[in-house]
Amino acid sequence: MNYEIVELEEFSGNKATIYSVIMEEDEVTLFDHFVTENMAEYKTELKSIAGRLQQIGRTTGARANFFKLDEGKPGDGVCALYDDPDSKLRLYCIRYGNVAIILGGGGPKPPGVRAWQEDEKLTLEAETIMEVSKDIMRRLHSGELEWSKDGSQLLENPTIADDEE
Amino acid sequence: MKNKKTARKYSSPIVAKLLSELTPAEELQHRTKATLAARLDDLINARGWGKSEFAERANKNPSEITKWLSGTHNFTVETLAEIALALDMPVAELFAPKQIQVVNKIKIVVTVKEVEPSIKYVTPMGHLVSGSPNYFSGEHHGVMFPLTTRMHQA
Repeated sequence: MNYEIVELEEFSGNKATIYSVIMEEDEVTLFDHFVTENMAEYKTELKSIAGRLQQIGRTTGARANFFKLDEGKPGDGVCALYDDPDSKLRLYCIRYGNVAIILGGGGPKPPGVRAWQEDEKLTLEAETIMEVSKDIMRRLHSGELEWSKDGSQLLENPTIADDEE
Repeated sequence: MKNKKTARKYSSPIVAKLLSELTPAEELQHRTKATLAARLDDLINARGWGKSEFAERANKNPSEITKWLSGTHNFTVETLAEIALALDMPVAELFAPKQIQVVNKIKIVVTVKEVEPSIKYVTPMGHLVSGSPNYFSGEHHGVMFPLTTRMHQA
């Protein structure tokens, strides 16, 4: 799968780096798509999510308690940002400790749906970010990607990346 | 050898617009909810309790504690009072910034047994340690020195 990992300037701060991904032949991030798709119906919830992501980047870091963990496969870091108590807008991401997250997409969680597998849109978004996580793990293992010493920045090793192309 | 590259910085107009619509009060509300949840998490951990133990002490269901720690909860004065009681501290301290623990004096004693002859051990102070078994200690005032012991292959 081909995609670009980008750092979101509006959210990243000295407590956590916040990334999203741009899929091949696309121009905006998965998170941008999430916002665009839900703007008409869930603007208040989106503002809340944006405000919270800003605090995660600048004030608290990506504490485990802020996320519904283990939404993906064991060890892949896929989780969902907890929604506001009155909201059912689900955003999937990959959490790397308290210092970095990669935002994926998401969508509204319809009443009665308990798990993403029960909803077509949530399934698509959860499986997409799980694929991204799997590929990032592969690239970290091969040395193509690595974490900076403080663990907050994903670094690409161009030598290995070029070799694999 | 090429330098390692960080990810491209990306500015999103739609995200910037969303954030620009947050009022100062809304921004402060998000910050307060997040920092209060983080502070509560730290206080529970500092006591060596898990969520379940804290829930028991606060006479709450563990799922309620999960909500409190999620960074989204709108705490009432009633809830803050219950939390303060369970933690045995004044309510005002829930809003106090995290205290940084300053270590003024530390004594480290490291005992090394059966030193591999081909390895030279060097203390953080630069003292060479040799022989087997061996013993050295370090004492320092004011700041902590690292616990790591550098090892040099002979």
